[in-house]
Amino acid sequence: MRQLIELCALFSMLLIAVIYGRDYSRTGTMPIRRLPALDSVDEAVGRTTEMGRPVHFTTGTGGMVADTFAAFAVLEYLAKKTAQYECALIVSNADPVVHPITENIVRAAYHAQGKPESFKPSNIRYHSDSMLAYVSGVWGIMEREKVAANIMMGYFFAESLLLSEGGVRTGAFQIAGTASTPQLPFLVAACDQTLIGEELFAAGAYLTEDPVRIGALMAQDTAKIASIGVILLGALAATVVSQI
Amino acid sequence: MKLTLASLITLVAGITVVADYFVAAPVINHAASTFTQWSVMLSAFSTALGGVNLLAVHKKRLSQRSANWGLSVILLASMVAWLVIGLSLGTESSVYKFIWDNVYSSLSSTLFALNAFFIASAAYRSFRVKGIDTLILLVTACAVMLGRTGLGEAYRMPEIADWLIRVPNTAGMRGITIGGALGAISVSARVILGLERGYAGERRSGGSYQ
Repeated sequence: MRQLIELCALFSMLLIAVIYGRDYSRTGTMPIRRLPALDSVDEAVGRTTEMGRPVHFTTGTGGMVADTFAAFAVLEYLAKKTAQYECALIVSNADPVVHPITENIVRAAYHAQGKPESFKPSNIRYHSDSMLAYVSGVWGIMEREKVAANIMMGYFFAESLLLSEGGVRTGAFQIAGTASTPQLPFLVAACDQTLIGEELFAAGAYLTEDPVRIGALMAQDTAKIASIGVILLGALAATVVSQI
Repeated sequence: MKLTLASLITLVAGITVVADYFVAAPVINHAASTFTQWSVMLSAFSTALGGVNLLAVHKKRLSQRSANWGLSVILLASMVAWLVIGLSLGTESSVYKFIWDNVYSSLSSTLFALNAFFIASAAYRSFRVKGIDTLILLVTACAVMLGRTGLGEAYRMPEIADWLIRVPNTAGMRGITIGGALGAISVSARVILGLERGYAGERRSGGSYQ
């Protein structure tokens, strides 16, 4: 019974996503509030371009999880911007599966901007799947290459604070985003801008204005409102029962 | 063609693994288990690719005599030595264990210990009062910290700290977790259905309803 309810909820989300996606395709009205952390991606690229220094991007040690897929949308946007402004982009990876994917994304973005010659495969780096070796590698890049902006999007473990404090030491402008609740306080404390939880999953829709992504985001919001309703009803029912 | 094939494999594997949760059919359960095993194998193969990338990047730095090329020498020498010792003597050998315990573990522990100082410096920056939000953060953090000290016990601070962690903190965290979980479902569904293909290097990621 429980699984049937879950399956119905899943299909309802898909249906709502299609309805909202079609609606957006027709009206073109962007239904998403401003997200300062994503607006500041442009600012970060502008800053690095002016300073003639690179921008650094990493997805953390989380591997191929939903947060990382959401981060790919930010990387795609960032790579297009860095290609456009001819600013160096360095991507650090801790997961060997994520590594070729990030390379693919950046290469495609540079091709899309008509600058395939600016793409440097050696700037997409795999460090190690060992967290602390990966952190050392990223610190080395931050210190040696003087990165002016550090963007961390994905799923992080204990490396979140080590990486972000490394960025603070080099004076980099930092933007982070994760749905990993234990790491959020560290990122909020150490970074200039942070995408908190579900905001990371809104990044793709926000940056690309793609109808499919916007539809999915609206379905996500509808499911959230429904969840709040169910929680309130449950709390009310539990209170009433406890009083009887 | 490559992209279509990748999307097709993702669709079949994704739907099978999702169906495994909802349907109790031996064929689907077995197929899902096989796909999961394949993902482990692919991951292991990717580790080798990662090693090749590391070699290529540092070999290039060496051949171009880039700045700090000496660090690349150390990295490559350590990598090759570690590989040779592991393959020839085995991971249970005393030499391998000696290096693991006295080099790798020591360096890792040192690096990890820095977190203690970083927490302090990050907290110092965050607790500077710039508005009502940071004031609330400062007061709450001080209450929780006092609640964990002997001095705080004299002023019922442990009770206040426990309440702060149990009620507002848990409520906020659960809200973020629910939002994050719904976001994860949404992204995963798009990936499985082939509507999110930026990861495959598609020049214009995402689909369209037009």
